[in-house]
Amino acid sequence: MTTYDNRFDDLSRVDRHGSAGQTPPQSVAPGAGLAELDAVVGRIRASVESVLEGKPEAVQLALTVLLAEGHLLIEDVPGVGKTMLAKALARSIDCTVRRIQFTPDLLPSDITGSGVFDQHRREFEFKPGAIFAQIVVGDEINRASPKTQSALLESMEERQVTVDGVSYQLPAPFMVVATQNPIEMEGTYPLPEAQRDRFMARISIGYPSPDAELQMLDVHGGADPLAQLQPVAHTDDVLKLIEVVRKVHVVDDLRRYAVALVSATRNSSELRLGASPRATLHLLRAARAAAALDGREYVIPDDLQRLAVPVLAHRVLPTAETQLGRRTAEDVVRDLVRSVPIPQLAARGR
Amino acid sequence: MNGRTRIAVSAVTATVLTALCLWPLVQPSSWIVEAAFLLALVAAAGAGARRLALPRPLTVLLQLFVAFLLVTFFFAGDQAWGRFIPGPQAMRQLGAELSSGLDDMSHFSSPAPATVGLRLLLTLTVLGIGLLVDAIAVTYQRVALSGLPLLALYAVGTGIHPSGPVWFYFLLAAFGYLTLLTAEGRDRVARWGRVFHGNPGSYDGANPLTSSALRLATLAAIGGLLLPIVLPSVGSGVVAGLGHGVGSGNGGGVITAVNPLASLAQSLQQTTPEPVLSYTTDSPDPGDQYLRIVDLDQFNGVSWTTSTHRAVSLPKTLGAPGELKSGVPSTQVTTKIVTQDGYEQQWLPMPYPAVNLSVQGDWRWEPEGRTVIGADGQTASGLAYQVGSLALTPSPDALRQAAPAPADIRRVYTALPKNLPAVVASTARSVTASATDDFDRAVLLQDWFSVRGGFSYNTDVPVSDSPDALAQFLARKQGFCVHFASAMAAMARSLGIPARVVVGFTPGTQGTDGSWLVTTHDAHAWPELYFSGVGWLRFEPTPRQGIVPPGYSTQTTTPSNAPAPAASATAGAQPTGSARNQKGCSLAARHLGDCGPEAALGASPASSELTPSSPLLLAAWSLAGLLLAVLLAPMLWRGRTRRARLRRGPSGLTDQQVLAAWREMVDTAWDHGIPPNEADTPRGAAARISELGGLGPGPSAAAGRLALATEQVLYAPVVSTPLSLRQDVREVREGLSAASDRRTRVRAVVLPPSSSSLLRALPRRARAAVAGWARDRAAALRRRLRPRS
Repeated sequence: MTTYDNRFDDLSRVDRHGSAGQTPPQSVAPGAGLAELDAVVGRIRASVESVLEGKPEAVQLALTVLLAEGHLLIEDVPGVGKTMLAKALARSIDCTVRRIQFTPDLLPSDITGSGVFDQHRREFEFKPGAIFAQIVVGDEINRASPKTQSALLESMEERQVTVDGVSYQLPAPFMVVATQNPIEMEGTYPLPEAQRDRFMARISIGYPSPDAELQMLDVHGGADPLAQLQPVAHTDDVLKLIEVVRKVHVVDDLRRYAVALVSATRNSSELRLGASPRATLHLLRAARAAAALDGREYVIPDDLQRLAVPVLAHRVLPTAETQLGRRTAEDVVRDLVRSVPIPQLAARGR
Repeated sequence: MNGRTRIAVSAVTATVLTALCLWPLVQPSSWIVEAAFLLALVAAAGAGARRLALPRPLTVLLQLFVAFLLVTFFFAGDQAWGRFIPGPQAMRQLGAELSSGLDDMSHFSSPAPATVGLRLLLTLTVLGIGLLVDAIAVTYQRVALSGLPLLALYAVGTGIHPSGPVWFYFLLAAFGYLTLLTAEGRDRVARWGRVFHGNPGSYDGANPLTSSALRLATLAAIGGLLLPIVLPSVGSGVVAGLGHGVGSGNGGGVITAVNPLASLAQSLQQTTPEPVLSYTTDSPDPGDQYLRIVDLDQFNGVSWTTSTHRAVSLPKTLGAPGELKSGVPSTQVTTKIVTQDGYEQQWLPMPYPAVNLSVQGDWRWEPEGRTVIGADGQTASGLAYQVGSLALTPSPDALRQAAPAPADIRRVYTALPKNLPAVVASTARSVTASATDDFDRAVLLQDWFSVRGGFSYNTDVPVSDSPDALAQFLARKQGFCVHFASAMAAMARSLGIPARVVVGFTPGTQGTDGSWLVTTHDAHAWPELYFSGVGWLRFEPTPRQGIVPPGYSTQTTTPSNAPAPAASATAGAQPTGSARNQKGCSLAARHLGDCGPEAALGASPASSELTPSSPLLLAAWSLAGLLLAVLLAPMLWRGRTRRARLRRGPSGLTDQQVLAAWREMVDTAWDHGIPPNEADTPRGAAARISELGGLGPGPSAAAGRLALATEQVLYAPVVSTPLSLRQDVREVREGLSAASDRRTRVRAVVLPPSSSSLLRALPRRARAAVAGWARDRAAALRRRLRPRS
């Protein structure tokens, strides 16, 4: 990166320098079990919650998405700590982190990188874009033009970037944490359905409780708490945890239940567009991560039910009637969860 | 076709289907087609009027008018102006046809010939009912109410049916009504828009509304058919009585059945005696041989009825009465009886005591009364049978020395109602004051009624069904054979002599060929008194011509010192003239009919093991029993399920046992008013039950443990099941029960809502059973068809 562009903030650089001499904690042994997972996740959670008080659900969900190898979309009004959550998560893990401030004039090549002609060697040389990091924080993603937004598509799904016919692998783990303002806000380009579908979950943080807000005034009043954040987990730790999550047991009945939940969104008369098969995949992966975070080596229907709204609601489109009825996609999905029978219990419960 | 038109078509269909029950009344039955056609035209007129949006009363009036024109065209077309408009002549002709139809109705028994008058009458009936149904169902849109006119048509149709209600016509009528209801239901649902089937992805299943309605309707129709079998009193009794009442005037083969007491009066009332049966007998004294039909052993102060006796299948030989000692002189008598066609009596007339019987048909033996009763609608019509009986000639001395009757006989046959007027007992005592033993008392009573007491068969007795009718009879000394029989039986009872009233026939008149002919005028009632060593003996208190007291009661040397000869001469002569005074008889008959046991005795035997008496009581009991069984079924089923689910395992719990415990907890919560939710996870359900059931910390934890165990069994790869969950289930139940009010607690035990799953599972189980059966049959068939190697 020859010129410093304040839109591309290499957060990891700050970490590397700031934490010189400090080695990240001992990485967990291979084949880490749930106990190790609990320990590592506990550290990350504590670290994140030290800067974002009173929002354990949001933090939990962010961790779930991290362990489920998904991408996270944080949608809320300005100033509630979207970026704070994203940055805190990124900094708590010792990995390469980039932050991209999406603006209307951002170009696709700024994200993916581009070939630059080297005068000396007389050939094109690939300059990696801002996406080449393990955690990419995309701030106000819906303020960029659709063209730039779509540049994220390939990298998010396929975890690689193709420039001038050459594909470049992205580092693992790779997670995009994007924040966006509600689409009704001024100067925003709504994310297309295809792109929304690539985010595993969407969460909104919500306003803090008065107590938490008061405490925030104390903590944030002095210095930037983010600056004091030290990495508490190594990249390898996270990769091992992801392995643990992949081994979480899911019985057939629950796979059927996941399919039933997703297909219920397709059959609902209140929805114009249902969730995709990718949504089913994401739902099950997220459920595995949630089960592991809960200290279980098997998924229970509660995991699926709890994740149905964050995983499914941003992918479906309510009909005009539903919107007129002041019902949001979240409401519809919540009702569907309450009405879809759980296969095994329904069959054996007689 | 729009909804209203469909309902109108269904209304016509329903009326025609119901009218089919009139089919067997008239031969040939082509009039039904004609009536259906007219009805369709009237309904079309109604549809037209509704399309023109006429006011509803006008529509009905228009339909009436059209019906009138059509009837005129069909029945008086040649007299009418322009064949349609009825003038005075046509009106006159219609009136004449109508009255001839009414005449025909009373003259012919069904199936009657299809005279013009009858056709007009039937067509008018069908048109009237159809118009009413159309008006109610379509014009006024009260479809369900239109069942009432249909029911009326069905009831009348089957009421005058010769063989009583036929299940086939019931099903037709029910189907017609259901068609109407279905049409209305479809119309109603259609007005709400497209039917949502729950899961729009699959349209393969039937509409759940239709299928459940179909299920309900089938159940109701089957229930309507089967219920009368369970209820003995709801037989053809009332209906059959109607039928016989109408048919008797013509003399065309329908003979009024001699039902006890009530119809006895009717048969005596007939202007011309109708032959009932004829017989030949080798009895040494045929004039002394009465034919018994049925015994009446219960007396409520007003009327005599039969009590409940067990009827058994007819034994090969009936045998002599158990109480008959070998020393009693008797002669074996064989009687060959031929009954007339149309003698629809359910008891078999037989001499007493019959010892063997050979008869065709489905008959039952009632040992205590020694009567033979037809089962499953078996009647004595057109039978030829042979009865072997004993002609008893006990010596009066032996009867005088008879020991007291056994206690069980005395208990039943000396019972008297408390409100019996004291004059009955006091008269009995004063009349028999001179006697020293029961037999003499009986003879004195008989003589008092028939000879010395000044009684006459003069039958202008004022009708009274008050409890003191008996006292009135004793005071006025005028009455009817039943009066005499009941009075003597009641007085004998008051003296401690077991007594009952018997209905049957006097011997009748002997023809030139030596056979005896019994007509309806020979119907009779008399008392039977019990004497140890001999059994039941006939007495004859009725002073009537052609009636003689039994030999053993006349050859007695009564210790009476009454001035017998003069009194007997006058008293004996007096009733002779009026003996067959039919008018007078009818008054008494009506009286007895009112208070008589026709309701109880007229009922047909319902099932094979019939009881000849008080079927109403039996019906009430069986209904109560059925109701109780139905009410208790959920409780019993629930208890059984609970025990099965919580059965103790050998060691540790299997997955199935954990799930059973879980289901038990969910059902227990349901019983306490927390319905299950299929979308609930185990944890969610446990939390919901804890919250809604107001569980304390202990039961909540127990519910949580159950949920975790269930969750592990269902979803975990490796299960570490707990040793027992019984205690947890019990704890949750106690917690729920403690937190709910008394009503909920009682309902949870007596009528647990969770037992509704039993009902829901029924079709599935039935399907499974049928499928299993079919599989077995198919396998067996394949085995059989496989070529033998």
